[in-house]
Amino acid sequence: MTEIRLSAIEKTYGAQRVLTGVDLAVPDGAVVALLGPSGCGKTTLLRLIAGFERADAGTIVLGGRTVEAPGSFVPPERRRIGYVPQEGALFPHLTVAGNIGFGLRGRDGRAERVAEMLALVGLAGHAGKFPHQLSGGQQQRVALARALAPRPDVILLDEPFNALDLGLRRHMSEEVVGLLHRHGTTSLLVTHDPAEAFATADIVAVMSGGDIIQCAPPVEVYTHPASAEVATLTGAAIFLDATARGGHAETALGAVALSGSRQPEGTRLRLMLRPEQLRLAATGAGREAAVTGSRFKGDHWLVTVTIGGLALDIRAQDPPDGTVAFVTVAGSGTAFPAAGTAAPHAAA
Amino acid sequence: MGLPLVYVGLRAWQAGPAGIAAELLRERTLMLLANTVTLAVGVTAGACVIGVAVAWCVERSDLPGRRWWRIAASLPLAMPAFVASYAWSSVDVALQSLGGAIFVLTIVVYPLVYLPVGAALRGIDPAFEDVARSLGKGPWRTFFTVVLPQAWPALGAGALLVLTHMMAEFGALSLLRVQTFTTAIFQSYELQFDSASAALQSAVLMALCLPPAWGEMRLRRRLHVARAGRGSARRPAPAALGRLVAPAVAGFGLLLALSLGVPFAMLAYWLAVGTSAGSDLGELVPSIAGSLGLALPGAAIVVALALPLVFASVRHPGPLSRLADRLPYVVHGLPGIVVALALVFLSIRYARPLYQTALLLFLAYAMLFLPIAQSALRASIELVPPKLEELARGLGRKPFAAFTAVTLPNILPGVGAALALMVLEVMRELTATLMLVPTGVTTLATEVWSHSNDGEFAAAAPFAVLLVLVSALPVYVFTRRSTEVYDLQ
Repeated sequence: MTEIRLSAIEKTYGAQRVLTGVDLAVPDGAVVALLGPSGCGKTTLLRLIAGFERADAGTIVLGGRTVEAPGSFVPPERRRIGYVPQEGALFPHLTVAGNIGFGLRGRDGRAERVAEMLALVGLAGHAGKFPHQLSGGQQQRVALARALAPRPDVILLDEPFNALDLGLRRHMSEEVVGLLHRHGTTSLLVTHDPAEAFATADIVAVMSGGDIIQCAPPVEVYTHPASAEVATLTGAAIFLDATARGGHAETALGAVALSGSRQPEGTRLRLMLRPEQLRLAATGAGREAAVTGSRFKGDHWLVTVTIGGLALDIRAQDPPDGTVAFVTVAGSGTAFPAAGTAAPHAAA
Repeated sequence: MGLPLVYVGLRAWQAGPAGIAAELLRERTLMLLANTVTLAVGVTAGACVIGVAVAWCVERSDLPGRRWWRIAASLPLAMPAFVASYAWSSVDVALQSLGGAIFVLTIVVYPLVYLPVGAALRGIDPAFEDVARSLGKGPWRTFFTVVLPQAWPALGAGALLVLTHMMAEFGALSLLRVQTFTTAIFQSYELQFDSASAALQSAVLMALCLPPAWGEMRLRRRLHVARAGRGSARRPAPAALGRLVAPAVAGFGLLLALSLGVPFAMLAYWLAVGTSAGSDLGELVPSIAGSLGLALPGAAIVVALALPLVFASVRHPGPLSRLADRLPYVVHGLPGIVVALALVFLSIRYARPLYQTALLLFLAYAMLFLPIAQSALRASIELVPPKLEELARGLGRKPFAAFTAVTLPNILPGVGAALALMVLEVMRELTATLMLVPTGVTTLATEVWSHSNDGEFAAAAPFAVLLVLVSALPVYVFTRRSTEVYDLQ
């Protein structure tokens, strides 16, 4: 069963087209990360799903119920969603228990449900506190408990860990998503941090320019990005000019295996490699490169080498030994059409 | 600061327990109490309803032209209450009643509620409303369970401010012929300066005024704390008024027509009547001179007193400086008429040479306006962190040199602004000026009051017009500052 289904969602603010026909299907119980740079429309998409704003076109189906379609609109309070905004937004005039119980109807079982939620997020004993008495991480946990308490069909999280410092943020995002997984709640998480998206989501939907440009499991998105844009949005990427030769790509670093479909012989390509695929050795196989600099980064060194006119920053465990090093490529690269040429299959 | 208490205590002791009981249990006292409370509560309730509605429409709805309405709706503050009352009472004598007074004062003072509530609504992160909606609350439930509770300190502080002002109001009520404690005290005073009735009525009035003044002070502190360091990432989407657009615009139009249009029309009318009757504008000169002659030194004295108080509380927080900082806010709750009466009584009894001097009046201004000067100064003093002075010390300046080189140049604009504000506030003050002004001196405010009190509406008009123009400036400053402060959050 599909819990969230979006078709051809469009939204325009003034002259700006924020969403340009978004389609997305999220299976029951999955955690999906909407990943993209600021301004790509990911938060707008979340707000449309929540019903805080209306779409200009398209339909939204939540748990088999059409909540938005041309001519019909279900207001947010009847969509059975849980919403965790940036910085939590705990009601400052209510206690922790008051916040968690806010969405519960009636008196029956309220106290039990609040206690259950407090235990779930590991904050039993904090019921009577006010939000300003909690740390940032605790506040986010209460915000999550508040969203989960009324048993929503879908949880929507809008960059919920942004306000936390980096260490706590990684920890919290894994903890929260682990909790959502165990709970089996379908979740949509907006983030601009690829590491957070990969660490937490079953499916990563990469957004850019108002549309989803790739939607796939994290490993797939990272190793086989659908476009050069996805590649740069999901992590560091190195692009090399290349030519297709018998299932390989001929590059300044030598022949590199190509993933994906076989390219026509002699096609000019743009080959994408991830930085960790480049290995540096003092001797042995690989292309010879001149070492032009190195920087200490704590747990690794970043060594700058040049091969012909090409300058590369390569991670290494040890500082460079001498002025010459050898570069090898591990694994395969992903080929994109070279700049200025048409897509290969169109040319063929 | 304790002078009014000393006066009341002294005078009451002279009257003796039997005298006190006789005075307080009179039917007239009960009538005054009923009138004062009815008026204050009525105006407060009205101002809250109008203020919240206006604030919501201007800040949260898609009301056409809301940028313009936002400013226009604060303008009625520029009309001193007794000038508005003069204008309305010349429309129809029917307004010279308790109901009329509630009506006239409500439409003049509602900005005292609208401004803080509007600022609070602007400051509330719209994410709260999103969350409430996602948790199953409809728009109305969301407003009452999430938005209003967060705007509550602002609403409460505004309401208590109105309540205190209304209990202390004298000029407007005297022109609208409503019998409350303030007008009764004035009558007793006119009959006999050390009347026991006046003293006991003052005691009751103080007992009415001080609790709301104290409550307001406490709420304002919470207001300050509550909005520390919260950034709202997103501008809220304005609520669609739909079919209610036309009634809302009509309501705003009516409100402004009543609060500004009618008084201005009446002023213009009486001005025209007076001019055609050949009244001499040269009469204005002595009262302008009188107003300035009192306002300029008065403002300087008030600011000079406020400066060390603010410095102490900002730089050396402690129980004593906190008390020094807050006490004037409580004293501010004292009605001007009680302060003036106490000064008259005590100076005649114990400091005869002071009586009928401007110095006594300046003392009254200090008691009445110290809090306003303090809050005007506080912002600019807080902008100069002690770090800067420490930096100057580190660069080799001695303490006093560091102060004059770093702190003083930075607070001078703030001090100047506070001075200007105080000049204008003192000029529109009526009650204390009326009672304490040295014989032979007139001011714009006293001229408006005495002419219109005698029913000489045309004669009062030129003074009133000038006074409104003078009053508009502090209102502009006040409005701008309150919007700035909250927009910074």
